[in-house]
Amino acid sequence: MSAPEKVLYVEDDPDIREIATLALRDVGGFTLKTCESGDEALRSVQAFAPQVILLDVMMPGMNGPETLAALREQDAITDSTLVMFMTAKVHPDELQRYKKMGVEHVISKPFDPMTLADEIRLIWDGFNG
Amino acid sequence: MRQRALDETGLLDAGAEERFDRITRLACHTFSVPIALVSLIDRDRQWFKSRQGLDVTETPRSVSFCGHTIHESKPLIVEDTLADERFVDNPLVTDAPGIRFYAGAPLHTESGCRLGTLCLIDRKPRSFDSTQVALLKELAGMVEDLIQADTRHLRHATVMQEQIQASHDEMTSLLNNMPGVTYRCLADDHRTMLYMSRQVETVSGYPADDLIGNQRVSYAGLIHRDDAPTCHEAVKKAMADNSEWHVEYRVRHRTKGWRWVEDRGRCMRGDPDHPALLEGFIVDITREHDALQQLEQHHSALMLLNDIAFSAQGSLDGKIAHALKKARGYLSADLAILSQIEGTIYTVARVDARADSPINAGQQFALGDTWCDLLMSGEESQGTRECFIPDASQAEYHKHPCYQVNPLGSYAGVVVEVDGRPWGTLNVSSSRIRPQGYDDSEKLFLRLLASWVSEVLTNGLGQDRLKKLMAELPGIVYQFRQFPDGRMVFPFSSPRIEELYGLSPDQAAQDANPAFGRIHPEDLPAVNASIEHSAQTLADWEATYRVGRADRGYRWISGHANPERLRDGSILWHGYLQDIHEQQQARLALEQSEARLRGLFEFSPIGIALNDLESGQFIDFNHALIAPTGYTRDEFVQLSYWDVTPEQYLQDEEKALAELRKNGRYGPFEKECIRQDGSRYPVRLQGMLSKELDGRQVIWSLVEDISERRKLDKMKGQFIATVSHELRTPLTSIKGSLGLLAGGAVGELPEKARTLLATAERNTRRLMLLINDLLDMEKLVAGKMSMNLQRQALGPLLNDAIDAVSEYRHSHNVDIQTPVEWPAVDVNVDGPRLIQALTNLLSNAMKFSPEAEPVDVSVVQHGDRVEICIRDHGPGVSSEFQERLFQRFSQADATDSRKLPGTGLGLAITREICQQLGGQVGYRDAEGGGASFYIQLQVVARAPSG
Repeated sequence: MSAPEKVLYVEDDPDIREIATLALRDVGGFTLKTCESGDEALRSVQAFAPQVILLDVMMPGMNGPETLAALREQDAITDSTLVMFMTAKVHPDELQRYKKMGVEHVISKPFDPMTLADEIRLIWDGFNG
Repeated sequence: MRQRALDETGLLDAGAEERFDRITRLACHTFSVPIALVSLIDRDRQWFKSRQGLDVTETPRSVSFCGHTIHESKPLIVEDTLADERFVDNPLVTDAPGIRFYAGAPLHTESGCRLGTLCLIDRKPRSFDSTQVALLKELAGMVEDLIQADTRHLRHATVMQEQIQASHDEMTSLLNNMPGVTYRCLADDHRTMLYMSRQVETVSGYPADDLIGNQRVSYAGLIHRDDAPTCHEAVKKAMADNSEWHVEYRVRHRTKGWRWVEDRGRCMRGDPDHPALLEGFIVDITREHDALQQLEQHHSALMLLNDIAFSAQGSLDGKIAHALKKARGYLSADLAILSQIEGTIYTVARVDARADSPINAGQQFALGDTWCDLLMSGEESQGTRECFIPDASQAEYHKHPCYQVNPLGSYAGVVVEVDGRPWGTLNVSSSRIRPQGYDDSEKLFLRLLASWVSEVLTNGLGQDRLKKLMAELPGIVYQFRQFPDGRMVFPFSSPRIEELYGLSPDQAAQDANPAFGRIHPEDLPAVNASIEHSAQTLADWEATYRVGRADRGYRWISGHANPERLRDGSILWHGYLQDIHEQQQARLALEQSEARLRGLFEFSPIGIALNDLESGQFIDFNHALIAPTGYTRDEFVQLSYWDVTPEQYLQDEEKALAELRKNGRYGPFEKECIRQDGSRYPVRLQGMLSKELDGRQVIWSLVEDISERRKLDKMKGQFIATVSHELRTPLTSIKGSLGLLAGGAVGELPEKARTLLATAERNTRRLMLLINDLLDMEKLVAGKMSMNLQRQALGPLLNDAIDAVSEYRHSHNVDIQTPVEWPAVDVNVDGPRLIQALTNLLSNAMKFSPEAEPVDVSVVQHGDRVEICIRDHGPGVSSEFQERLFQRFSQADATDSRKLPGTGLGLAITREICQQLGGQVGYRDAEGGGASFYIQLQVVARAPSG
């Protein structure tokens, strides 16, 4: 599959959302849809139909994994959708847990905004390779 | 018969008597006869008691007229003799006096015996009528009366005389048989004897005749010279007072020496020859005197013994010394010894001797060389108990060795017994012999003295023994007496009372009050009350109190005594006092410690339980144990262990029990307990095995309700997550923003702005590291960082770690030198964590490395352990700091922190990680300078390759 165009980013912190927007849209050239909560993501995912979903793990209300479960619940995610968590500290236990949820890749915070898009494309390539 | 009657008249031959002559003269005159006679007819004659007109005093009876007359009781009248044939040729008729007439009347005694006649004679014949006969008979009657009176008188006198004679004889016999001597003497200097009864011979050895009239000796000469003046004085005084004398004096016996006599008597006056005569009585009282003297000697001996026994000498030594001195004096000896004899050794225990004596107390002799051998040599049971030798020079003693060694004059010894067994001897000896021997008193004295000494010694040694025993007692044996008037004394107390109350036993016997002054003021009321109570109820007194002493402060004393009520109302206690200071201190300390522990036990927020190992029954538990259960104490006691433990923990429990039996302790492990309402709560358990005094095995368990901790842990975990999130989120924004700016996402920036951005970015990274370290540390310390142990090769991990610090290598310009190939070693570790630990050490090493000096990383295997060593060429770590090296927030020099930034947590995190990986981290000074940190890990043996 060709390079991904549409990235859905769920992040509660508006500042990070803004930086991510700059990094992914302006620097990376993705079509980006940002959501401030899991709920909003659930509402938007159908219409947006992203190829890549970036989920912040720690969020008020629904957290990342919960949001993922809910997204799966409403079949908003297909096998071809690359889901990645973004979290501050990657603990092996958690990685294990994420893996069980079908999430192979985690992007650690803080991320480098200048290389974030490249990193996602790299993973995407691996995901589809 | 007639003759006797005649004798009884006493008239015969007694001469003429006027009373008879008066009658014969009257007869001559009345009858006008020339001759009148009172004729008494003897056996062969007639004797004229009275005669008138006749010169002859008697005529032969054969020719007498009267001889005829007394044949008949009526008078014989011969009127003319020539006319009577019976008398015609009678010479008295024929010759002178030429009797021609005779008239005679017989004289009768009272008993009718005819003794003679009253007769009338005329030289011419006469007629004699009946009137004249009657008159003659009257006159004859008068003579008869006289004769009869005489006879009666004479008979009476004879009886008297006989009585006097008998009495005299009796007297004489009495005198002769009397034990004493009767005497009469002159009051001269010789006491010239006029009479002395013959008993004087037994008294003096001289017959009475030798003394009477000073024939051979004078009585005064026999009197003892010493007694003579007293005797003389007494007699003189009695003479002057006209009283009796009574003296005792000695008289020299001719052969038997001195005899004691008693002389009593008085002076008799009135004898015409001797105006003053001494009459008296002498009794030999030698025996009585001797007896008395012996009595006196006995008495004085007893008095002396009494004096010895009740001497004021207090001590045993004093008493015995006093006794020996007295004994030596009494027996006039040179030496008085109390010896102790053990086997064949004679020891002079105590001695009293003349000043020049060579004998001293403590000297020892062979028993065989001493005179006391004579006392001790007998059989044990019947040995000679005493020995009196007045003259040791006598042959029988010459054989004995003691005579050779100690040639004494006299010796007296008595065995002294202690506790019924011969102990030694009491002996006195002298260089002089005693000619008079030892008298009974002296023997008695020595015997009694020996038995007294025995007694005193037995007592003394007994007391000595008691004293020694008492001295060994750690406490005080005493008697305490409370008189009805409130006075208090210690009648008896063992010497240690002085240590306790500062009173000698003697002082304590006088007054017990000072002792009370020593008692701690806080304890005194209780002590007084306990004494009062014991006195009232006669229950044993018991008290524990403090007694003070200036040099030692207060010490705990325990007392126990048994009271007794005396007749005077006093209470006498017999008891024992003991210093129990240490015990009491220990007890108090124990009590205190127990109270503390009990307090700890009771107020411990952690549940503590004591269970019997075998039965599992609760023996004791604290409130904290049951507080979370909802049970009351009583309910809880009834429960079995499995009532509160879910069955799912059976395995854990069994494991714990096995661990307990094996190691004596178990846990800690966590499980759940069931509350009364069925709900559960988490606990953390650990315990240990203990042994009770009775040998029973018990388990002490700490059961901590960790519900709260669980909650807290959860909160903490959330907090940490929150903090890490909340801190990192802004950092993510900052770092992202800076990255975008620096990356030119918003256009080219001026050079200065880029420099500033770089600074901001670097510090953001530092802040990030700091936050990571802090969170790591928290997790590590809290045990929240789980280790994902996996067997893996060590080499790749080292490479990863070195890669991780590659950024540093460039910025610090420090090279990392590694061997060409890592040893092929497998370790069981959490890879990322080991990398983190190694990274910390590497970055540290680079941080302290001088520029262009490399950091060396090496790996060495020692048996089953592998050591990763990271060495720099920096300044090393000062020895003072080495101790604190791995503590949190330690940095060698605070002033360096700017130049060499760090959180101070790196090494602490490294240590925690290493420990949780089963290894350890350490530091040593590197050879040739610099620091050398190492991590040691357990090697996992690799399966044989293939």
